[in-house]
Amino acid sequence: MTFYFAGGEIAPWMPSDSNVHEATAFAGYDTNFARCGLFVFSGSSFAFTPDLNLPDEFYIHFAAERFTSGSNTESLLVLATGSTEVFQVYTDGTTVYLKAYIASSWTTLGSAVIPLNSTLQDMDLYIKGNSATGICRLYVSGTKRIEALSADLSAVTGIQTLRSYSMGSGGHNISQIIVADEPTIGMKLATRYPNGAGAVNDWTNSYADVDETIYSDVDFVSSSSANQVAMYAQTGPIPSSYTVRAVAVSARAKCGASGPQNLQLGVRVASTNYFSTTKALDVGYGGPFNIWQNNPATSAAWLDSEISTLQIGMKSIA
Amino acid sequence: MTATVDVSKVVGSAVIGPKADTATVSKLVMYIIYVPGSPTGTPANPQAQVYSQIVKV
Repeated sequence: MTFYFAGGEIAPWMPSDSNVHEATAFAGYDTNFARCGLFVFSGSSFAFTPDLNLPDEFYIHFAAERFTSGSNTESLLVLATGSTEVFQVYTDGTTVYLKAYIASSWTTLGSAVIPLNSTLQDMDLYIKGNSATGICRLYVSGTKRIEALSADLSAVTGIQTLRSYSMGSGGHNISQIIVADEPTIGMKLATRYPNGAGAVNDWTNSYADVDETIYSDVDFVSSSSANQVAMYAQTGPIPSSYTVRAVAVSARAKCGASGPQNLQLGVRVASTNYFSTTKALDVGYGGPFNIWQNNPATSAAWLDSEISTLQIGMKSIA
Repeated sequence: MTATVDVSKVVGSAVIGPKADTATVSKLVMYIIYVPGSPTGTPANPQAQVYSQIVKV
């Protein structure tokens, strides 16, 4: 079992332009788990993930709602191999379509009436690609609604990134995105965020500069030399009828022309910091992330009781 | 006649943003992946959910 991605905000998602940002203005997300939706609006604008390098068979959980002020269609999820888009979950607000890019055109493999206009839906996409007899399915609220067997998914292989497009003037919210090589049906993604000082802060500025819901690059924390660590207390929902499967930390981060060029993301359990592998930074903002499927302090599965006292942060690397 | 220099506008500008020699984080987020199940402190079993049913005959 591997989780390849977890996120519902800018970091680890990245915006194509200023038409993509978090939104709390309309109720297109589940407040029991998320503090906002990732709002994509205006033609051709999209949110996209860092490189994920997915296997040929995987599941994607997500929640989505279409904003009804426009007459636009929405590509809620697009699977891309580098810059080539090969599969999408597409909606006009009343019907959802699964489409693959076959022989230079988008071909509908299956569809179902699924209301998304001002209606939040929990969905799970299953893909078995890299085959002329591939399989794709879409589950809604845990129920299989669309299935295409023997579908030509030859081009759906080596998926590197997910994108979420708005194709007109309206837009949509997408949230709680989880990618795994096991069924994601029933899974939820809760967002937690810095809300206090942690045990160490070698970086300039404080948790208050990285805690925002709607991303802003005006305030930030910074590190001028390698191996500086910052840890912050965090808060957010802990749902009562669920149990933890994995913990992820992500940052909207960049480097300068000189100084630290890399980053490690971290969690602090009890009195020990645990860091991810080194993530390379660019001079433009990216969305490095790390997923801990087990508690690094115990090497065992996470316990729900361990979440509230976790600290999250990062270490600058030369 | 006295020569003059006229200045009709003066503008000062400040460049604001991260320094060129720093790594910068502008937002940090933690996500928890949850599965249905009582948060009893026992890890979730990822392999199966077992349902029992008593049938009266």
